[in-house]
Amino acid sequence: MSANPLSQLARYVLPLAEIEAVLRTFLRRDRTGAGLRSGFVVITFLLYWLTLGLIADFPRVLPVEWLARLPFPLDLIADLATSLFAPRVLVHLIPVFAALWLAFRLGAHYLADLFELESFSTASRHVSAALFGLNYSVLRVTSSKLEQYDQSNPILRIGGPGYLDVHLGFAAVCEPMEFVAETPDPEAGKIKVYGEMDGKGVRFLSGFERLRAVVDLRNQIREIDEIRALTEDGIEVFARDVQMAFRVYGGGDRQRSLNRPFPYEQDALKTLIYGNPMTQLRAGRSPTFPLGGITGSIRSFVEQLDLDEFLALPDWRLSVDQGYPYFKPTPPPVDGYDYRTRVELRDLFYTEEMKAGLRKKGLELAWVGVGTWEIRDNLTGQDPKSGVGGTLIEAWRDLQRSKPYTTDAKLEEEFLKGQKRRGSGQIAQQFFRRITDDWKGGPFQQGSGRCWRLPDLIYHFFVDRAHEFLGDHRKGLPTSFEETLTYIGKFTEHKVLGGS
Amino acid sequence: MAMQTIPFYRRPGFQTAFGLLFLMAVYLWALLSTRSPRPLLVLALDVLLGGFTLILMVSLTAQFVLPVRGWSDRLSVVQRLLSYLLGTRGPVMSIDDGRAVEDIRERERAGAGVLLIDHTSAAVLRNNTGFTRAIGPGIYFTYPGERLAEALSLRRQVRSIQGKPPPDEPLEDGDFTSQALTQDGIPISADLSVTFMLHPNPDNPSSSIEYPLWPPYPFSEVSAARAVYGRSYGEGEDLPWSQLPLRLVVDLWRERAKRRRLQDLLRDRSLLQQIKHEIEYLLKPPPRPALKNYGELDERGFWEYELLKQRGILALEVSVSNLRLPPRIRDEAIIKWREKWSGESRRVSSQTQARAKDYFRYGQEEGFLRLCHELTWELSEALDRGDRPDRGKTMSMILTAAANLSASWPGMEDSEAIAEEFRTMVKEIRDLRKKEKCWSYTPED
Repeated sequence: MSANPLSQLARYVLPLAEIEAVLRTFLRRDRTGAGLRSGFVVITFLLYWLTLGLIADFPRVLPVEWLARLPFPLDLIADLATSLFAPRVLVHLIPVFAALWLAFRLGAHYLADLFELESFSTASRHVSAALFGLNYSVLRVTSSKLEQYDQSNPILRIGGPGYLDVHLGFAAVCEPMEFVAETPDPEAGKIKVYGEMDGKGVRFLSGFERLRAVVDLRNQIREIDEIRALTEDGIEVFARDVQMAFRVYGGGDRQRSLNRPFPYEQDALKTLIYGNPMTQLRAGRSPTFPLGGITGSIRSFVEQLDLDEFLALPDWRLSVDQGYPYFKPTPPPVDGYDYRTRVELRDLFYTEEMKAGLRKKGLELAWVGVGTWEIRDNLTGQDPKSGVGGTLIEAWRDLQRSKPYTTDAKLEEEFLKGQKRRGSGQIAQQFFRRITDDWKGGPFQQGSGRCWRLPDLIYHFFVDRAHEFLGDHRKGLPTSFEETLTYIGKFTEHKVLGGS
Repeated sequence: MAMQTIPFYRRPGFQTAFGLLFLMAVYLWALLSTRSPRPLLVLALDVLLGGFTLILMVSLTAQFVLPVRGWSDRLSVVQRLLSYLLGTRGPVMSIDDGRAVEDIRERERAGAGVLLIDHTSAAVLRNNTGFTRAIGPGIYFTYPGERLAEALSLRRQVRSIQGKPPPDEPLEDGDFTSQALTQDGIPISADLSVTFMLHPNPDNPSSSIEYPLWPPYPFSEVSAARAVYGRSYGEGEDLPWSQLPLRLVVDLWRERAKRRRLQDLLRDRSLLQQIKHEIEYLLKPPPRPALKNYGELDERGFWEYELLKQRGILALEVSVSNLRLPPRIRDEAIIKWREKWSGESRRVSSQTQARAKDYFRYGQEEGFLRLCHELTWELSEALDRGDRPDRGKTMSMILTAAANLSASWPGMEDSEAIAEEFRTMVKEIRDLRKKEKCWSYTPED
């Protein structure tokens, strides 16, 4: 395609490259460009004003007699200066001023429309700062929650130009306008991190350099209310109050000190801000710390254990030993019970594998508290005592009840003998007390009725108990017991009339 | 602009118009006041100068309301700003993190507009009759009639669904759950999640490529377009590109869970991981990891992967965890554990209690027999001799034996006191025998 002859001619006649260079410098988005533009506009405006005064022949505004009182050259300067404020001169400034003002307002309107700004002043502040370097905004970074900042700050909504003042414990991540270098500066087209590792103090953000997010570099502590897991034998357990303390990955070999209390690795920050997948509900730009892996690790750990192993229950339940007819409680280990589940779970988070996994997400873990474990007895339609907690209590109770039955047969024999003694003592006690209490406080106390009541008690005691314990067989009784009992029975008969 | 609720006199548009009118009025008044000899000529010159200044200043301002660089873009933004001034503008919006920041009627504007897309977003444009182009991060000047069809995010996305214990009642219409059935027909559910992104390189899909975590992200116009025109529309809800992967994962989860029995899933929790790997095998592009049953999966086909590819989506990772069981199955596990843990101890405890009770009874029996022997032996001997002791004598014999017995009975409480009471009773009976005839009664044979 043949080139436009006019442009070809222009290329030879006009120093296009130089003009372009000047224009680029003039349109730069940094403070230099802003200074040039404001200087250019001000000077142009002043020159125009001066020209207007010249055309109007510097009309005299001040009275002659006032000027006469002033010494030379003050009278001349005053005359010239005040002539510029003559109505004949000022009137022609109005259209130019109106045009400048309208163009400025138009730019602010456009910007407000583009970013849907709630406040027009945000847009006008940006335009005045971008165009002329006036009224640069300052954003003091003191929190990682961008929602807490003044939303009318142009740096937050639009970007630079302006100043970023990053305070201790935070790092700000800013995106350039484009990922190409405008200047020879190799860092110009890259994501920038502003924090203590990258020099302290206030930083200047160039035009449209945007604050993406702020990361809190300090130690963080988070709590997970509840983690549900299923043991190997299918029982639900809940970890409550799991806590973890962590921070942004500091680079491994960077030591913390008073001068550098919050070291960080730039890639870790970028990973935190950009690398963690977005969920549907995530609305703000504040980064969230990806702790899902920790939940998953706890869950996986529990899934490998059955409930006994998980709770690290000492095996104090009873079990039947084939060699012994009754039972035998498992003796405790020599070194005591091995309650290691919590320790093993905690140690899981300090393995190299876990550290590497967290590092990939931009984090380093300081501490994990694995919380308390809850097993709910909320069985569907069942008595809560049938649940795990109730079962453990019942089993303990059974153990206490069966404690006399130990591994020692001799002791068991002693216990059973004792039961026998108790039984025989109980029946004797029952008989003796019955006789003596009735004699002292019975219905015929002090009366003659005792003479048949006493044998009656004795007789019926023997008869009833013989029936209860011996049934019909009467095994073990003395040979002539029946005869003796019959004789005692004769004393129980009493005659209403004439009896003895 | 979001200013519909503020009074009209505080609206920036009104203030600008009012300011302009005010300046014009001041100018006209000043011009008339100065009594210029040729006011119309002066007016024309001033207007020309003002207009020229306006154009220059608008051109300068335009360079700083958008992050433009190239000369053609600089010219375009000047045109847009002048159109804005004249009221013939098009949509003016930014896209931030995959979401369009726009006014309610923004897309209805028919003129040439501008889109500012941040580094993590992309978009597809359309007009009334077709899609026009797919664009990535940067500034784009839209043609008259061109507007935003859909905004997209270039970042990694994750969508998840939390499992719920399978209900006993049927599911309600519209319920989206991760409920599945095992091979033995037991309903289960699990927490499912899928991580994916807009495919950066659909012409060379590969699982082995590591795409950057932060900008600049690679962008494929083909994928963006596919994601937008692949959107599904339903009666109740639409299915945008970002919802499709999770639906596929739930479906695949149900398919793979059906091949397992509940007991196997409970006993070997690594089966859940195996299901996860199988789903990833079916969703991700090659090269695929070696799985034990890859033959069966290969034979099955990869139509889900093809579907995602046709929608411009690259699946990165799937997660299957936190198995949930129906409440009654869960209860059964507890009952089983209860039986294992305490069943034995309960049985043994019952046995030991029963034994103790038996021995107690043996003791009672022995005690009774001893009473029978000890309390009646003197009387029995007297009867054997042919004696017939009277009531008092008989009772005394028994009570004397009781006194001796109680004193020597092992473990008897207050044995001495009881023995003493019996001795007292014997003395009383001896006295009563002298006073009351009933005590000296002897029964007839």
